[in-house]
Amino acid sequence: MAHTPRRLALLALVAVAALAFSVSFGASGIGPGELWGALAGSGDPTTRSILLQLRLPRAALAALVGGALGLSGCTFQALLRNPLAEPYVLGVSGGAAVGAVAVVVSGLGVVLPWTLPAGAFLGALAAMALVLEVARRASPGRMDMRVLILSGVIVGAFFNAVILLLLSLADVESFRSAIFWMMGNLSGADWGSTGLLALLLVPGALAVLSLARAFNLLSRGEEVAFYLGASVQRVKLTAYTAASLMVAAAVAAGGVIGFVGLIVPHAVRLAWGNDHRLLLPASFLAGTAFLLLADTVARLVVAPAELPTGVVTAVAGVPFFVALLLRGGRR
Amino acid sequence: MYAADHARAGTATALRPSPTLPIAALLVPVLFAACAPAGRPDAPAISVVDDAGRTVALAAPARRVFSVVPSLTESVTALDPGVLVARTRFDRAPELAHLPSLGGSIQPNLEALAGLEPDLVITWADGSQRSLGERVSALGIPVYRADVQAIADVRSHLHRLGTLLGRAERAAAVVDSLDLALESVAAAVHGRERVDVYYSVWHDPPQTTGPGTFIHEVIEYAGGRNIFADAARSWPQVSIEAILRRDPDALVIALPAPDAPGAPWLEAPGWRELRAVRTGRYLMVDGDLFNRPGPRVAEAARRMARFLHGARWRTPPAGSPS
Repeated sequence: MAHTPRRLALLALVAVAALAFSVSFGASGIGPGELWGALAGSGDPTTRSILLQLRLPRAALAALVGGALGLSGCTFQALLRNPLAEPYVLGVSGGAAVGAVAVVVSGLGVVLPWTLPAGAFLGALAAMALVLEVARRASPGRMDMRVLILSGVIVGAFFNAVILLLLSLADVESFRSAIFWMMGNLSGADWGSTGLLALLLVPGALAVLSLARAFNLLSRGEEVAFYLGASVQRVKLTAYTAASLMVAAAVAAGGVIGFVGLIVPHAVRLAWGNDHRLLLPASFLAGTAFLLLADTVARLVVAPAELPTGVVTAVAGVPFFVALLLRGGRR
Repeated sequence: MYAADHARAGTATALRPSPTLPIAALLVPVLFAACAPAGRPDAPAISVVDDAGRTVALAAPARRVFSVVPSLTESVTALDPGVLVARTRFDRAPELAHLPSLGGSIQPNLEALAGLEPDLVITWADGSQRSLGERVSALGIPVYRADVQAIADVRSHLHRLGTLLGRAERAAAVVDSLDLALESVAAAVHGRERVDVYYSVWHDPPQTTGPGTFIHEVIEYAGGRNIFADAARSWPQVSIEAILRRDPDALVIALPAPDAPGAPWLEAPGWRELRAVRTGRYLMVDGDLFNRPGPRVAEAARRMARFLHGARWRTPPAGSPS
């Protein structure tokens, strides 16, 4: 525990460095020198627009989404006591995707651009409520986590079927937009959506962070946690609701970006152990840094085009994680 | 990938509508016509080579045609509208409205198609579409596989389809009037300073035209300069940051359908900062007209020239330099 503040400060520094790196590079080839000039007010208007209207809001969005996915992934792993748990395991992304794809395919997203994140958010909330309701009815009185997982998987599968149905009716252009969204796409970032995401994330993040001690108890089993004084049912419900809300907001703003929420908490755990008082905030900061770097790569590798961010997180994240696992195994 | 010399080379060749192209295109059917009826008595009366390199042979001119390629549906319409027996849902021309729609152009309803007993089906030569051609072939229906990128392809398809439909003379006339119209547009904007143009195929993710496409040529004919003429692909996907960096003088936005709701996304960050958007120098066009490499490309060029070079160009009669 003595290491905690120092380690968090270190991670925060890494995250800030990733932010600076992300803002400094982009498809237009405007480099750091020119940019800092523009920030100081000496650059031409195009450079200023690129910095202030494109790169900064996008970096801020990547930071928030990455943090939210890291934190909620960590929460789901603690809650479900399952190493495969990640932000989308309980079907939230499927619900969000149904909302978003319906908006894209119907053409509504072109007329009223705000309906895309709104539809995704509503879809995510619907999925979240549905999963919880099914789990509650299937295990009355106490929320059985195995039932919750099953309920999440089944609801998720149903939503996937709905997505396929919608896509099979889509025309080519909407199809591309929808697929891009589902691969995780931060290119729609603007200050409004980033600010809104920040507001939505705060209560969920605070709620989850306040549960760190309870998660430590829960990791010894529900019964033990109960005897040690945790009100297990309340903790589970709070954690599920808060983490799902964070995922809903993150997915609405950035699409379905995979692997961050699975890999980041595991990486932190492999490096620094299983104390949730460190693990939770560290997962937020590491998620932030990781997604900032991944998004920078996504914007640069095929410039002047760009890759969906979720493609990079998967391609880069998996080998990184395998390396970590192998190193952990040797120790 | 994006070398400046590529850009210059690409632009330089496309700037001047080459006089050799129409001639080359005219020669193609002449050659086919020369070898088709030669010698053997049981040789099919009509044959052309399609873009997959296969020989399409017909005993008689095609009278019942179905095309999944919307631009070639337009070419067939220009040659002989009466031969089409069905359409896809992308063929929205009023003169085709009475035909049954067999669905999308990727997966048309094969059973319904077979029931219409077509004697020629036009599909894409492109790899992802090959299976449709195979399956139609398996039904014993002749298939013409096409790849349409440049305006030269439009001419060449008109000639070949003209041969298959027994409308070779009509095809030659359509090609002549296409060339005449394109040349009159080029002549009308001749000598004017070229305008940097961004052409929006789709906005999310942003997709535009690279070099070598008919739209690139239309921009050049109309006195514009395609700001992504240096792209490595024909239809590159680009980032808004790259568009903003190249800050075009004018924007041409193809709307995907006639009832599309315009382009409210121009108010999104990045787009709204573009000089062309701030100064209102953008034009929304009918994607059914602009995105189809068919006989109407000259009409697209004319509209684009009117937009790019405005009121200064209108009065001169076709063909005369202004």
